[in-house]
Amino acid sequence: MGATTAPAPAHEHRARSRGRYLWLGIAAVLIIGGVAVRLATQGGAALPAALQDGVTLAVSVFIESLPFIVLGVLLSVVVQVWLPAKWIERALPKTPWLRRMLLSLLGIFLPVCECGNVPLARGLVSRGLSPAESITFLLAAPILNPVTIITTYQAFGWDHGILIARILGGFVIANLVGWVFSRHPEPHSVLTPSFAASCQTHHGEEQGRRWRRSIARFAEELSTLLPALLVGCAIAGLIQVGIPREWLEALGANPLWSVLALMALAFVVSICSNVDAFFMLAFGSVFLPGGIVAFLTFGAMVDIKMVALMRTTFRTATIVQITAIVGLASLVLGLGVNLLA
Amino acid sequence: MRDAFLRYWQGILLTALGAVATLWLTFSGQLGLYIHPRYFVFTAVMAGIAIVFVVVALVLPRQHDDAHEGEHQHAGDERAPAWRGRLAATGSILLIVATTAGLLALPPTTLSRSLADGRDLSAAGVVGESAIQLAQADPASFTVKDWAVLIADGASGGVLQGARPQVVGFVIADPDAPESGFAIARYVMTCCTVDAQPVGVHVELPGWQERFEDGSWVEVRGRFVESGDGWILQAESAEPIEQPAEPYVY
Repeated sequence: MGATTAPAPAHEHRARSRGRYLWLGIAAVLIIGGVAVRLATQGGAALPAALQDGVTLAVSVFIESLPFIVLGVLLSVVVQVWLPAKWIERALPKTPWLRRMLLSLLGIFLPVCECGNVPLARGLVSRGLSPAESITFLLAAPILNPVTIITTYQAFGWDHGILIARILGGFVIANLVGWVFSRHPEPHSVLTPSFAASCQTHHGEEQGRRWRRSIARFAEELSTLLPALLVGCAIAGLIQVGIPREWLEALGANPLWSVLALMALAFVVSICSNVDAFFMLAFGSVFLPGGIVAFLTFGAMVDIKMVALMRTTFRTATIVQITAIVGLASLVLGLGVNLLA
Repeated sequence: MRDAFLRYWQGILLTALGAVATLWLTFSGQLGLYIHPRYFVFTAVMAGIAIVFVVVALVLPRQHDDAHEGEHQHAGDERAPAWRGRLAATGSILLIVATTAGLLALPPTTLSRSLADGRDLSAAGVVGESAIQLAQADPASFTVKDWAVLIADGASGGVLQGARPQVVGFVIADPDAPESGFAIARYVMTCCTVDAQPVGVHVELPGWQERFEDGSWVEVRGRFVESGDGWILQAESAEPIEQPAEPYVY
């Protein structure tokens, strides 16, 4: 990484500062333009109700997720720029499965939503953690964190073992997936080529002032994550308007179909793991407890928004494998709860 | 420049749009159209931090990363043909325009009544104050959700019997008995609009169709009476009203 750039010629400096104000200008034009359109069209014709609802739902998921993404990116910047890499190595045990187990409990100290965990997981990989370890953290943290555990308890108490099944299920599934990927002969091939390349670049890059690097990391992470988040939100919002909920609810009372239907619902609604228990409570009278457990474990790990976000970091094949293992394991967990409850 | 746009400025622009929209909603008192009040402070604070980063990134020269922009471009050439870069840039521009439209140009609104179609309106799954807590509270401040919780409880007959409810909500025509009455409902939000569930109370008011449209907002006063499988609100007066500034209940 020879970053010893020769001093830039004067004209390049001028071009660069012109470029800088170009983006400031574009940002101003977008914001002022958007506001002007709103003010100019006040009281004008509204969108068709279904489309408007789709937009409202998509915007709502975005407004809800954005602060968690920003927080996740800030933590990721701290890990990448401010925390010495040696600290992470020293804090973690050497035995691989023990390391993964400890990482799956990291969410207890960082109770951000699943979308905030993606930037943090990326930061950890670029700091030297293996992809399998980051996947373990990514899958476990949304469930094994105090906010999720408290809200699940508030919603369901100890009824039907839902809380216990969710906590243990999340822990076991995350470590199972982590173990599977730790067996991969070429661990870094599960990452997208561009992310793997950027890890290489950032690795060992210590020059430059930290604040400057923090700003750069912040902008780069958000450039990767926000487009994915926005596309995920748009799909999640529009699908909810498109698929009548009765279809899923009609399947609720069957021991097998209730589990599958609720997993499909969890995938579609992409709700934050911190509060999905409240959402699920509305279905508590319709669905069997196994379906609810499957919703609460599968949905916290994999959904439309998460798949869109994971696409920034992992290859499609990796995401399909993660989805398949988590899906199967959640199904088994759900059916097991239905058998026992 | 395309590389710098996709890798760096795209995120700055999208963050700026998201944060400005969030702060605008906060200061115009409309954030409640999208998220639960318990997130207001956190959301606004993070939007403020994001704005600071955005402004610093836009104003300070972007110096450091120029060093390996070239490397990336070089590495990118081996993997991705030029058309993919053009496609990514076009997609990104469309996304930025769509985000500007969705977040800033379109006015924020509440969910339409049509999402409540065919949904169970009872308060069976609603979290919040329990019927026991409500029985001790002042009924003057009760929302349609509180009344629905009391009705679902089944043991709150005493409270309902003597109540003089004044309920605000939107009209949902009852597909089974469209003539004699309707349901008055509101969406209950637990986290964000995605989890909004309609919760309502059945209102008895023959001939209501001549006065209200399905989905319009009304204020109903009357008494609860027991009927068949539960309690219904027998309307003494019902007036059309404007949609409240806070259409959701929490």
